[in-house]
Amino acid sequence: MGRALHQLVPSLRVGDAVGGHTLRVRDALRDLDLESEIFVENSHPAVAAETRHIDDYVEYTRTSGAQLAGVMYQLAVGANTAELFFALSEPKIVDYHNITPPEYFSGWDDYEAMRTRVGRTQMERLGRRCDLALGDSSYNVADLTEHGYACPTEVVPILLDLSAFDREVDERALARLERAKGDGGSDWLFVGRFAPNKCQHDLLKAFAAYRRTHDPRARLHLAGSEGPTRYVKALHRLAADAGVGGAVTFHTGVPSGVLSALYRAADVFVCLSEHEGFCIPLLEAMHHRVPVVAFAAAAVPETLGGAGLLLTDKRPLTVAHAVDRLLTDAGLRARMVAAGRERLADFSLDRTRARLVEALAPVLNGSPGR
Amino acid sequence: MGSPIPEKVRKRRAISENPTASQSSSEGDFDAVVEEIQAEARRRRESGEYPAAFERELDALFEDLVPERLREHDFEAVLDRAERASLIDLHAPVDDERRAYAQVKRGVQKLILWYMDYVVRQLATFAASTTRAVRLLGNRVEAIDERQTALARRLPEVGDVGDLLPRDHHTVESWSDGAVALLSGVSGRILHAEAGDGGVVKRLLDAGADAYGVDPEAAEDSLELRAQGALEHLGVVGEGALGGLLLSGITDRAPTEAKIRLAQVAGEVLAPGGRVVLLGNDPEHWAERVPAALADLAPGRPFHADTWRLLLERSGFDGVDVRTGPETGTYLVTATRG
Repeated sequence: MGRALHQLVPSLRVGDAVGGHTLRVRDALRDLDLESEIFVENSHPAVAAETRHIDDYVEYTRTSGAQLAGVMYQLAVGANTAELFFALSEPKIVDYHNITPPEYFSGWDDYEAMRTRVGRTQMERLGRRCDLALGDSSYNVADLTEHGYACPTEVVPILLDLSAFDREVDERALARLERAKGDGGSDWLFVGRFAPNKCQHDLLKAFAAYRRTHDPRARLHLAGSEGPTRYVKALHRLAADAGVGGAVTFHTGVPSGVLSALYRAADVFVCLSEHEGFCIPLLEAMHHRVPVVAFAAAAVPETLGGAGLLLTDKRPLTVAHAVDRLLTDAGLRARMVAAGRERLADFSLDRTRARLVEALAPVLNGSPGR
Repeated sequence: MGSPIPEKVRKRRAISENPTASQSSSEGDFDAVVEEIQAEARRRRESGEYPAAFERELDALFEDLVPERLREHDFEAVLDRAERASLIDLHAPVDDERRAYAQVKRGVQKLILWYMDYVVRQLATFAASTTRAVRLLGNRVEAIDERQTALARRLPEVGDVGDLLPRDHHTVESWSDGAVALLSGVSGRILHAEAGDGGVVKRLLDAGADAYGVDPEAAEDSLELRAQGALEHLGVVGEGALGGLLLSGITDRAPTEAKIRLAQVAGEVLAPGGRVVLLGNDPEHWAERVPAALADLAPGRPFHADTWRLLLERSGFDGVDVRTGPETGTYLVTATRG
């Protein structure tokens, strides 16, 4: 009789970091000769064929004939899926991608604050019943431990495949960005959901300071998925009031080809975020040889691994000065790009898959820790 | 305000090490560069080359866009803002496209700088002392708050009262038929707190109701019966999320404040038209049954049924009905959320 380790995830979407990770975890498990399916509440039509509905989990596992080695829950939001996971009796593995503390949304989007509060409550409850907990970063693992997870915990970075960026580049978008460069000025880039914890407002302030003190022709590209409407409106207004409205482009819901073009055209990646469970865009910037200036908060220092300028002060003029130093010191830039490539190797799919298999060994060998 | 993030969250930030992956060999290099950059930015700020007023203006621009609620509730952010505002920039902008005007401005600035400097120093000292005093006051309030929290932790909690008094299963057993009959017809989820071994929950589920229970001493932790205190759980139940609420156990053992809060919360978590059923002991009858020493040491003692009537009516319930069991010395109070 074969063995199985299935995954539960509230939703599976194309281009979503957790979605990509879930698919790669499934592939890694299948390579271990385990039966592995992904059960979801809902999925994007493009990946619907890769999933089964969550309501079918109990019946499927009962009739499939495979012995259940465990079940893994991809935890990134509050969802009903957690309630099913909680009630299952097979060894349980939580794979935690962090849930933004609700305080960041309170006042900006009370519904989002409520959702994240529910998610964090579920995260705490799951800690009482799980046998193994994985986190993308030691920051995430510390969050679990702080919230009462007594089971064994392991750091397993998110399973990423950045090579897609090399295959998909929107040439027209890239040409447009290159044309704009003809007028002079550098291109700043930040990629991340438009949300208060990502602090795009601090980026706008730093960019305004940079335009005033160093480069009046600079441009800022903010790319990411839509966040709280009130916050997004405040960002547009702030850009206008700070006199940089014409130099800032808000790119929402961009296809991966356009994102690739943005990275290729960028001179510097600036991240002033205050809460990140991992921060994949830092690695994407390294992949595109874009030097990084970042604020030292949450998991950012850990993911960056020393391959960027890590500021402990993000006041506008300090950030502006850091970017100027980076863009005017070719030697520094070259060393940083090289350090980025070196750091990137730590997150190669081969290494992270091996790390995942190593971390799962106690459950697969039938000796979970609880 | 540099950030809309409350202090509680800021304290949660952590710079952590990754135990699984190597760090770049150039890290040391970049740390030195960062130190250099931050020191240089500081120097320029202090020398006036980077005008302090400019950063303040940028902060103020965003501050105006931050939701009012967020600004007013973050003590540290308000203080930060006050401190930033207490820095007075002596160097007014003197640039002007017309050279003569610019020269005049520079001249005036030079002339009055000594005087302005004298006045500004006093103003800045006053403002800095005031914000410092408020910050110290804030620290003392925080220390009191922490001491109070630590003290509260040492006091027996509602759930711990079970250590002093034997659990009363008798009341629930004697009223379970009535409770099930009153609740099985309601629409929406039904919660039983404290549910004991989940007997009533099981009966409600068998009757086709969507029921679950919480109890701090629950032997299992499942979807139907969660190991959680009643007030702790009710605190996270959404407003109007329940159709029915059965309260027992805690209704007798909890301290007075907790019971008053219980009635209020019941009014919050029940949807309009939702039904509460509350089981309790008559206090005189209870005092006769419980050993005097335990009764004296118990943090809470039962209320009269009429006290619950009053509390429920104050919490927005209508049609309060009290049924008593003279032989058992227990009662059932039921009411409908208006």
